[in-house]
Amino acid sequence: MGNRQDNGGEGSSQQKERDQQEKQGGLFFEGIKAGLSLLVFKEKTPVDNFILEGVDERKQEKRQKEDVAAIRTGEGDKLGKEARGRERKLRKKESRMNKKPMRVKRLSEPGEVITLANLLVSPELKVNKEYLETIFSLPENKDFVLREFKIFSDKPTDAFVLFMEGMAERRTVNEGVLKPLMLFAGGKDSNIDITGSKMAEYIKEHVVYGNQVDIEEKYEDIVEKVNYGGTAVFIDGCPRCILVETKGWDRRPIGKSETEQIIWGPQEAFNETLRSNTGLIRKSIRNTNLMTELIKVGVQNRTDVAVMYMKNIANPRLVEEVKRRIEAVSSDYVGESGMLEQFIEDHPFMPVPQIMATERPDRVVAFLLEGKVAILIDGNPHVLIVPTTFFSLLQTPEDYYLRLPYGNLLRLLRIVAMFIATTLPAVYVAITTFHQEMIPTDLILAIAAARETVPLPTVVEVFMMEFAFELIREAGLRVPGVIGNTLGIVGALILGQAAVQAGIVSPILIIIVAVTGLASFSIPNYSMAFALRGIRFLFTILAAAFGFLGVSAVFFIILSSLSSMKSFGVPLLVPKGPKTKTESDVVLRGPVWSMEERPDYLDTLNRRRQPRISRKWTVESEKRGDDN
Amino acid sequence: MGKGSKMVLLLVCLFSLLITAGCWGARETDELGYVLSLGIDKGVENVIQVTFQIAIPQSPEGGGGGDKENNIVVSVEAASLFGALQLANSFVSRELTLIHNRAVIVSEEIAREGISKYLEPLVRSRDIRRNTFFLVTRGKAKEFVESNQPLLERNAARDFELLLAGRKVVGFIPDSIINDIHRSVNDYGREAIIALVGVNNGKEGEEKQEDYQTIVKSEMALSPNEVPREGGNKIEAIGLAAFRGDRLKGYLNGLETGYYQMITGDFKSAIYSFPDPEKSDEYLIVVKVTKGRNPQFKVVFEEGKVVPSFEVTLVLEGEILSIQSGLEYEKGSKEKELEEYLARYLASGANDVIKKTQNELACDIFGLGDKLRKYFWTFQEWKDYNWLEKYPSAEVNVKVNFMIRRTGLLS
Repeated sequence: MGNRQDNGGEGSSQQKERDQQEKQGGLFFEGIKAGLSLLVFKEKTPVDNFILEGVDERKQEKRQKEDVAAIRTGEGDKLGKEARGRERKLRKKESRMNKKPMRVKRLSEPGEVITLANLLVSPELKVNKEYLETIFSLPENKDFVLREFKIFSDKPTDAFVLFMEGMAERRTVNEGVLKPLMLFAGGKDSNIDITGSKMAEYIKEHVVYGNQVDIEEKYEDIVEKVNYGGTAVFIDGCPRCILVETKGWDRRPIGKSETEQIIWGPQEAFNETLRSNTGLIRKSIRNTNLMTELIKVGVQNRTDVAVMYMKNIANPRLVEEVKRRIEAVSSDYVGESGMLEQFIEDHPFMPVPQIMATERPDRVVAFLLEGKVAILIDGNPHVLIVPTTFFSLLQTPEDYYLRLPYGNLLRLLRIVAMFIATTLPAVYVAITTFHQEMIPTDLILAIAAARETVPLPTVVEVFMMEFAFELIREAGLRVPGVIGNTLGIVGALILGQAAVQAGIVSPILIIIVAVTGLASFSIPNYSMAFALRGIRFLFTILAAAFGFLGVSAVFFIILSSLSSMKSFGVPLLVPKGPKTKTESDVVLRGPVWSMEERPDYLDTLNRRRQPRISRKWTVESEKRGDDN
Repeated sequence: MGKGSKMVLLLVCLFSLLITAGCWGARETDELGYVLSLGIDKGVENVIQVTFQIAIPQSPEGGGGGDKENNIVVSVEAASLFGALQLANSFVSRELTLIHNRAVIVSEEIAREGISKYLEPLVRSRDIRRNTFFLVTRGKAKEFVESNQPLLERNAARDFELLLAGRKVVGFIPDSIINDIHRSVNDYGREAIIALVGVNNGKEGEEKQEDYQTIVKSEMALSPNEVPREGGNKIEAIGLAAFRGDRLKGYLNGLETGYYQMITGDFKSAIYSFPDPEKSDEYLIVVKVTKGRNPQFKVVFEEGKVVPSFEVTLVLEGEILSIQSGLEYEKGSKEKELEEYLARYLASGANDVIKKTQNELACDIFGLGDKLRKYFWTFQEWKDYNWLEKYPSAEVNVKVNFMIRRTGLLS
């Protein structure tokens, strides 16, 4: 959100200059300027200011108002085109805002001023039924079931239940709501007053079995709960509605993690149900300090988003910022974590992700206990973790589960893989076209010999093979069913072999492309792997044009843009740029017992993770066991 | 101007930047002709004749035909080295480049006239590495380059590399790279040496009418074209050429080169045959001699005297490879005796080499002058002292400290 406002702010302040330049016909100049504005490092907020704060909204509004005033008082000519353009925008905005209430109006009865927001339950059952038929478009909308019946008591009372087919569990509705109401409501204590609104209280307390029963009188709340699998009970003469929780729909069982497989460690992964996902996390953190706050996003789909954090660890300002950004998202449909990520991330145009998505509960638990915030979206197995650092995108939970040497071996391997995945084709192109002196004579002669039959320049060769490889990858993903896997491997082998025999590419290049592909598969984070795949092409193009000069130029651009990026107020390259206190867990990690403090950059409420001596048995003591 | 069109404009700008920039320096691997070694001779029609050995790239998979030529040799006469390189492109289709050049060979004739003017462009050039071998051949460089058709290696550059890297184990080839030679040619404390190479034409060896001990001694005392052998690549590298300034003064043979390396400390290890101390007319003791420690120099440079005296102590170690007589030299006090015998033998050899450089060649190839520098306050003083002129009259004495480390498995 902060970012958007930033852009808006820049736009208005730079507009004047730009218009002048346009008059001079400096189109090219503007191009360069636009380029510079993307490349040049811009510090949005001071680094030590933990939470990103947007540009002051009031200032912006004030400016706009001034402009409008200026136009109205006739000073508009001075401001010229620029202000007029802005005024047009402003008017557009206003007219759009004017439209909004009309849409809401349409929901209620035509001619009446009642809206859903202020509609209350009527004591008359008939009226309620009419309301509901309007709201839910009954009986055309077949998903909603309105079942009418009579409550069994001294004097049978008319009533009906409303629930949604498919979301409400059939058995619970039958056994927990309908059965007690129709069979057992009669056996009441006659001393209790059950007229009017009291009846709802009585039924809630004495009759229905549901473990979560609410009494509501606002239609707004009723509609929301029915939409989410609840059952609404309306009774004649009662101006309240009893809402029984009967959620229950077909869901995928908790399965193995598909996208983040590990060998050592827990195998379970999140599924599509928010509540079972939060349950998975709670199962691992049996602590009342674990908070789950629900926010609704999506104007039309109204999805639940759970923000989870440790109350006694996470920085409250971080939590506040996360909630602020999510609450400020206004869109028709936000039903997927990737979409929400795009709505709340800091730098939408940068290749490197600033929010980590994971489907492993153990990973989320580890991050929560570090002081980070998890964002879960209903209907989505991927959980977002903020803030995220660049180095954590290269790590897997297995690094911690394995013993120190093995874990570090994996990490080193992955760092090397990262460089290979981004630069190997570029280095190959640079060496073979610019710096032939850099490799052993035998190798250059072998490359030259292999290239003798190839009629294309090395760059074209590289791009052709890279493109074919990406094609295989994409096709393998999209092809239906089990042939997918075989297609990938067979396609690659046959394509490579045939291309070499046809003399279109040299055999050494096949190795380069294959190794690059393998390396990019070893990047654990899906988004990160995408980022590296993209950056690789940039490297290759520049290497083809300028050799190692180009490669180092791209390195410079990438590094400087990385170091200017932030994820929820935390610089992406932390703890290396800017340097903060580290706990021997950046590229390599120290022993688990040496990680005594939580990450410095999170500024947590509770710094210490474990005492200085966490292996208490190493301390000299009387009760020493017989270990020799 | 919208954000989208701004981005498009930016991309167009960047892309046109790439197109207009072009790829000036870009050359595909198969557009270049890689010179592996070059020889410099006196020219007939022009100043010099340069011979290039150009690699023919061969893919490793084509294994079958081993007879395929893997390099071609062309000669051009021109005024300068780079002129010749350019002129060669009048008939060689690929752009010749020296970036993979591994060796520069000059003929004896050129070496006697002075190598400075041929060394200078090599040191100045960006293409040529300073660790390129610089060699002197007896006879014509062209003949040498032409004769170098490696049998074991795929390309001639690798052949050179391995042949001359042999100095680490054999002791009769000195280190000879452009950087060192360039430095020593212009140094006031040492003279340059260059490894000696040549072509072996397989001439008939005449039977030697000498006694057993002299024959044993001459085992390694050979120069190129003298190695008694048959088969193999026609070139050989043994011995060194000693320079005075940038002019060739004379040669050291393989055996002397070994002593030279012992004194400078470049020595790694070498196998020597010694006459058996007790049965010297019949039997040999073969020892692998290894450098134990860097040689120690003791300089006595008294105030009144004009020339200093040096005492060099070589610390060498040995592994007995063979005692033909079967006498048990490795047992008890005999071992001590053998050590002393070997030390004496090696010391006399080393002293002979020193004598030769002082009397015959009059050039301080050992760099003894470098040990002397500290006795002068200023560089000018040191320069004026003119050590290289005084070297022949300096007193140099070599002592050897020998120790047998291994005696082999027989005991």
